[in-house]
Amino acid sequence: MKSFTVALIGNPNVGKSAIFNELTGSSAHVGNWPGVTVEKKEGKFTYLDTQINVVDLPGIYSLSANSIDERIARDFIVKEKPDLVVCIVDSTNLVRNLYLFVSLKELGVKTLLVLNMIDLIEDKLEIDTTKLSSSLKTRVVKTSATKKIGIGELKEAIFDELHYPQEELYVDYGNDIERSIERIKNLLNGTNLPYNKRFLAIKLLEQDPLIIQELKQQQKENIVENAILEINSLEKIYPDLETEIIEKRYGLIEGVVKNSTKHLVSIEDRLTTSDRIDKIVTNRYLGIPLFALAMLIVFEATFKLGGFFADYIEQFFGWAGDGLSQYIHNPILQSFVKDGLIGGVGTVIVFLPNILILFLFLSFLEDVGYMARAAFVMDRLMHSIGLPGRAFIPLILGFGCNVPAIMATRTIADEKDRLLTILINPFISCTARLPIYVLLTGIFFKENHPGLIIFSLYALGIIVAILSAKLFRSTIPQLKGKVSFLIMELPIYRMPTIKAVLLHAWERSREFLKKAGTIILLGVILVWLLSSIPFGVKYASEQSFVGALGKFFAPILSPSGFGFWQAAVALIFGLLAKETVVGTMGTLFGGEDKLSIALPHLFSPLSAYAFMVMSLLYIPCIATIGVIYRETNSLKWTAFSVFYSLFIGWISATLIYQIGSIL
Amino acid sequence: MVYLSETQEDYLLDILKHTTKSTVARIKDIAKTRNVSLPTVVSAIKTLAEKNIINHEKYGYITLTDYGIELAKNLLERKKNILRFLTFTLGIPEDIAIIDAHKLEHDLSKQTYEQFIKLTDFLAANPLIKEQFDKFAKREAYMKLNEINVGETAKIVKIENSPIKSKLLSMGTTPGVQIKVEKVAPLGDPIEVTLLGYHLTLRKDEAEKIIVER
Repeated sequence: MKSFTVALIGNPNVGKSAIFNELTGSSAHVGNWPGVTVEKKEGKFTYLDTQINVVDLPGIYSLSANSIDERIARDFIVKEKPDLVVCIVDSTNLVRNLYLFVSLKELGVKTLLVLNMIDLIEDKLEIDTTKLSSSLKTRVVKTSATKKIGIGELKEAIFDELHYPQEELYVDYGNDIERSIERIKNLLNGTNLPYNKRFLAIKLLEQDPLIIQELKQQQKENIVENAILEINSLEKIYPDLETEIIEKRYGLIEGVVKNSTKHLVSIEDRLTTSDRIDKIVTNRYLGIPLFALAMLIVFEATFKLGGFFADYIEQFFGWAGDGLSQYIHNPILQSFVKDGLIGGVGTVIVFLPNILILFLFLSFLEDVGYMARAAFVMDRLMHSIGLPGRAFIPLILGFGCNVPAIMATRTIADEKDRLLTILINPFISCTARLPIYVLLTGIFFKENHPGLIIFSLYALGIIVAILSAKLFRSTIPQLKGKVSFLIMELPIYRMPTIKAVLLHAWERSREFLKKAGTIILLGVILVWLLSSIPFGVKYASEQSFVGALGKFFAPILSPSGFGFWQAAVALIFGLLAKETVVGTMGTLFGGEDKLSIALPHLFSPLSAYAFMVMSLLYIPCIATIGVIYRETNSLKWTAFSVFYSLFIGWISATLIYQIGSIL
Repeated sequence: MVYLSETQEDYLLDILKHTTKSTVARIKDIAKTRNVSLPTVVSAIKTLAEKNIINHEKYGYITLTDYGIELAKNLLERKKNILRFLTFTLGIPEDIAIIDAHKLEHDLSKQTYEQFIKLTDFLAANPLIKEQFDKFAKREAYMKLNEINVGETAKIVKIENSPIKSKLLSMGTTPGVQIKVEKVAPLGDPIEVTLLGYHLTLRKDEAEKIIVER
């Protein structure tokens, strides 16, 4: 069977994913672009005797190389050479959307123009596709992915265009600039960069950093120098050459759009439902309360409703573990199946309800257009601590559970900002840490403002998160610098299809199971192994390997006030999930009911507080580590997160204990 | 050169105007254009005649002497040059320039006047410098987008050089585009604007890079 590759490209919020889903159905495969955490989606469909592979490129506004997304898209087009680039535009906003299209034509690739969301302009704007098609030298198809209009025609058009040559489209930059372009083009004849020569020449005049770098790598500095000379002489005529070039492109587009469209309603009547919704949603007084309400609903649904299912899942795995172990007589195998395998699988599955529900809500809010508004409302607050507005939601979710919270950082576009938000998230005190606080404050601070003690821990978590953000911003080279710029479109509100929301939530859950799940399972099995060897000892007892580890770590923990092996073992088990610290202590001291008698022998109120601080800050649980690895796609950053939090936990606990002892 | 008072200069120019039209000027015509009484004109004419600038003939006819013609032409030239200095060099609107030129004409020292002409000629010969000056002068009229009030519309003039310039340009904030400030976020930053039929949000320190005129 013949096969072709087609790339989908478009501005953000044009319904590109919906078109992708309609084209490829269930064949979609989600991965990452090499070396970065930008998502790459691939799928395929068959038309007649031909297999057409579809690659979904990141949503971008231009083909300059300013952001990672733009570089990925441009690199894919010039280096992988797809047979056709399908450019999807928002019909309600032709002028800005066509800018990317014109850039594609300049790159000299074969294109197909898709006017999506055609249903939204129905009786407002008339688009003459024949005129549009002949002036832009491309085939034009009208679609509405959510209403399933024009998908068949789109497949047919893709198939047809693969077999026909296409005329090129030139933007006329005026005599002076055109002469410079010609001269640079002549110089480029000896080079073998994969771009179209005219595109290269124009990009050199725009001082595209990536192209300059590529030419320098090929020892063609002379071309770059010549281009700079051309720029210098052109700037005598056009003091702002960059603006001039972009203006010329927009000039062409405005002419074409004016010629091929007709407004059917007056400007006043174009005030859409979307604008009316925004009058309330981003209102000066209502904006923040509405955002808080939205967050409350998402939070409650994720953790209350999700928790409800999670409890049953936990019970089920507990029951399954007990049930199965009855049939296994070898004690080591029995323990492995119960505590390692089934316990491990349970630890993974128990997060599923949370993640599924959270992403049902988040994809709904994203697709409906609210997430951009949330960022608009919260940007100022987050900006003051060195994070973008979109970081607010992941941080709030961290109070529920850091695992889905870290997965929610996907909505942050800038890689630096996202990495930073991921790295500080584990310091936000999740609900799994609460049992530790409750147990210890119950024993040591019963008469002494237990509420305030717990509150102080939550506050400490937030403070450490903020300070870490500031520290990373000013010291780590990969994170250095200011918050990325905002400059973001507020898309019109749209009702997403249920299918799209479900699909998105499922994709996220599947990713969690596949990649984070594997790490979590391995981690649980490792802890089981450490607690069981040498085989024959009592599980997690003083004689087991984990007991030995506890004894090894105890002296290191003694400056923090809890230098005994049981504390170290409890903390190691806290890796599985932080609430396990309580259960482990119970086991070590012969039952949770015995703790209130046993613990005061080992802890003072001060060292108990230091221990809670340690529990708050040290290594995130295995599930969080797994998801950090999944989202950063980097062992280095995962390891950094682990060691940094371990260090911060230890130093905070020690400082509190030492200073407290002096006072 | 003789000294003429402000009013005398005006009379001289009026007479020149009339004599170029119809070779002679009449006292009553001059009284009419200057909107004064006949005796006033007669006494003014007398002084001018004494200075050998005009010939006052019978029946109220007035002609300029050769000396008078040269004097009047110089005056006219001066008037034109000052007006040109105001409108071309300084970019003052014509209606204001005419009033101000009138004030300057009579009292300007020769040195200052000559420097005015030199500056005007220099700028006329160097259009690029003239353009730079015009831009510089107009900048006062330009504003930054973050200074525009909510609800107001402005026209983009340029994007200042900054790391966000290319991003802004590619999103359509090109010179000439109308941009409306829709609202400010509840916490005072960022702002929301509309352009090319879509909504865009940006921080105030980003809006600062967009130069607009109202």
